Amino acid sequence: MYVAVKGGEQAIDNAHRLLASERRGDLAIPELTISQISSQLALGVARVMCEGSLYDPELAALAIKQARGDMIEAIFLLRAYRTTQPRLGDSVPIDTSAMDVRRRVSAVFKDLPGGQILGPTFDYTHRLLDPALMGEGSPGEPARSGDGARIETPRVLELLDRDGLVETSPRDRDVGAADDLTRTPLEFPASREQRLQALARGDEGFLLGLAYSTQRGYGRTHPFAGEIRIGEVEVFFTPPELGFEVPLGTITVTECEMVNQFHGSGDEAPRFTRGYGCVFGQSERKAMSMALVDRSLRAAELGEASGAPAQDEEFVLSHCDNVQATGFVEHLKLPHYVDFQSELVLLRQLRAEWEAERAALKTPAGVSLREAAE
Amino acid sequence: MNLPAGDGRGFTDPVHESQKCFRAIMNALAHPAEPHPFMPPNSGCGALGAEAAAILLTLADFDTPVWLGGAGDCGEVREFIAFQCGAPIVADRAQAAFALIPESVSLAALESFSQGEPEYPDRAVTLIVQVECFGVGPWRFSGPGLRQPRSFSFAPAPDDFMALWQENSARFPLGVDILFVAQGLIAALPRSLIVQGN
Amino acid sequence: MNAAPEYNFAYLDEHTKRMIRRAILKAIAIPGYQVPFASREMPMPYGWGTGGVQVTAAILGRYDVLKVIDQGADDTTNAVSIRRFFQKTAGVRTTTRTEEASIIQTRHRIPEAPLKEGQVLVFQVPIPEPLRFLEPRETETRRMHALEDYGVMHVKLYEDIARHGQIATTYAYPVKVADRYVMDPSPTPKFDNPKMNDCPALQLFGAGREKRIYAVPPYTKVVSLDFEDHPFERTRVAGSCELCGSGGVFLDEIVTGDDGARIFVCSDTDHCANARDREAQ
Repeated sequence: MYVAVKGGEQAIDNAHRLLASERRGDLAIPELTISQISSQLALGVARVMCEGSLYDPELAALAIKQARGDMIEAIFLLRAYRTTQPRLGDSVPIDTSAMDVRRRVSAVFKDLPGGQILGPTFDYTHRLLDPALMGEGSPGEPARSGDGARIETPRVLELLDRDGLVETSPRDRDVGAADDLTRTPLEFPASREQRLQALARGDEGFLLGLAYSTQRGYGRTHPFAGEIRIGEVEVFFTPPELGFEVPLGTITVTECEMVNQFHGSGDEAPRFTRGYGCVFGQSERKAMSMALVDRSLRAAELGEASGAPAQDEEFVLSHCDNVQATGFVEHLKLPHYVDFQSELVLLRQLRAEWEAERAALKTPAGVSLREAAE
Repeated sequence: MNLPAGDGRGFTDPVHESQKCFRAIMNALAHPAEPHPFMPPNSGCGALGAEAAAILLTLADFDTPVWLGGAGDCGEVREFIAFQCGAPIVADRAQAAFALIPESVSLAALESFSQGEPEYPDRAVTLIVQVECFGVGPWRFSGPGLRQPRSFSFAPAPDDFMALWQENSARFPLGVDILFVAQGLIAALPRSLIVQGN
Repeated sequence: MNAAPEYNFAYLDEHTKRMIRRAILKAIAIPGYQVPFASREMPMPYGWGTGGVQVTAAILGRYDVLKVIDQGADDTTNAVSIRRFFQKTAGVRTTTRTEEASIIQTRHRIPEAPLKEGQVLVFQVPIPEPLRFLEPRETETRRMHALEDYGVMHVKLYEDIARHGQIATTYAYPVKVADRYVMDPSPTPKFDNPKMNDCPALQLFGAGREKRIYAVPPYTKVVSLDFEDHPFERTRVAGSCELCGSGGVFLDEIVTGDDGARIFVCSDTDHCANARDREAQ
């Protein structure tokens, strides 16, 4: 006799135990430490912090370890933790002009005040697997940096803005008035801050693909990498009871400002437009993609919409979040047998009707009237 | 934020007390035009009775502007709401998410409060109206939440309340929702209800 | 983060609960209308019931008795997981018995046992917008609801009739609530649609990823969309349960052998257990 399936609780417990043991893997191999992950897989940690919307290298490293290297799972872990944290207030907007720059490149001027600083980049490495990294190699010679003096690096777009050649940044808003995507549901058309928040949290791969599509003609924006800078900035907060700014600490960010297609009208002299990207940690790919997509999402505002996917605000912002996307795609694993059963009942009925209809059309000789007519 | 109130005027156990109050409010709205027991664990403050205060403690915070009508608009009540709920007090009633009407007889001009927008009818005010008592008749309400039409009244009521409510339900899905409170009781009129004379 | 993190009762912080509670109240006041809310990231994936979980967390109290079902069953893995979540974070009493529960969270079914006044049925909703598959843009569908312009839905249903001779929607079958809003009943089979009409229990719907909450108050008119010449027809489930013998209930099909042999058993496990208990007595 058939016995109803039971044991959901048991199955879940067993699955969790299996997962834990597979995560740890071979016990003869030393366990990864959090500091190993945060220091040696720093770019992965940066991605998890950025898309997880929480700057905490230690927790991001823990998330990567717990997620067995599955980045979206790690981002999800960090987001779920973030939601439980009390919110003390809004920080003062970070000042990236005052960044302690480690890398800074501009593709629009050969040289400029502060200079081009190549910094720690894969850009000119030859992509050859390095056998020296196979073992526990000794570290190479420590890198030599400058004399430690802070270099003043005025922003490239400000140099252009001074001559009126580029639109003025809309960043100078009232502090504290920013919408918060995690506190108010997204509404269309989205505000600039909601758009940038959604893109900063958005999936790197999704934004990369969209950004690439604009370069291939699906909503072209004529971009130039005005400036990309990576470095440390200080975060300040103004406690209401003190009324003045106090420093909270330092974070690493990558900022990209694109200079795009110029724009103008009868009332306005032509000038370049901007696309903006800013992410936690070192991730030029993400910051650049974000800047390209930010600019392409302004197509309607600038009167240049052509229907390209990257210009479609509802499409892009509704689908760029990988935690939402993975949840809904993967929910197809959940049982759907009630709905499927409903479909089966209907399909069988429709097939029976179809068979009956077909049988009725057949002559006694077995030749379908339909066939005969053809 | 519900600050742990040492003065006994707010909730002493915000998590469970606000849950209990919320369920009473939800139940009143789901079974409208009917007085339900409502036992606030807190005390009131001047023109703000304990029941109305409990609703604000349960639902209002820094995201919900509150408008104070009549005798409710006094320093004592303002301070209570600012301190216990952290809600901003607004002078423009059209900006309010919650509006306190301390005396039900002064209920008027429902359309001057936020009605919501055709695409966002939820962005409408919830009125908190203090009444002396509830009764049956002279009005019969029908609509969602009511198995059959139901007689309901409150006192003191403005003379033109039936006309006021007919105008309000004519604006559906826009319109205001009302939570009436009397001592130990709560009753709700959501905008979806239609009124007729008995 | 040092020791095991301590969470608030029912996981959500009080500010979040207040925000959800306000949305629930407006949802009850405007039956069938989808209220946007600032859905939080939950410790379970989007699409796995985060909307229902947030609604339940916002209404749940110490003295509630909670039942969680998925596909009608208390024992499916996701139902177990959500039930455990509330046992752990709220310590509430749970039950599998429909009539004992004060709150029932469900995915894809409405219990067979009639619900009572005072009970709350919380639905997990994946796509709350009934017009979404006809018009993907939120800006457009919102306008259609505002204007009560449901022409596209009627065209779709009529196309079904033209192609299949009947309305070929078997689950998430759209309904009109209180003569105003067209609403998605969540992917329940249309077999369950008639149970929503004039139901004594309060029905709340939560869509976490899509950030919407909506409601059907008790004793509210809920009509499945149809045409005069093609009236709504409840799926007729042929046969009876192999385990308890119940007929007229929704049945799951179980493949029992390599030869394709099949049997049918109750989808509602509580109903099935009760029926067997009664028979045993």
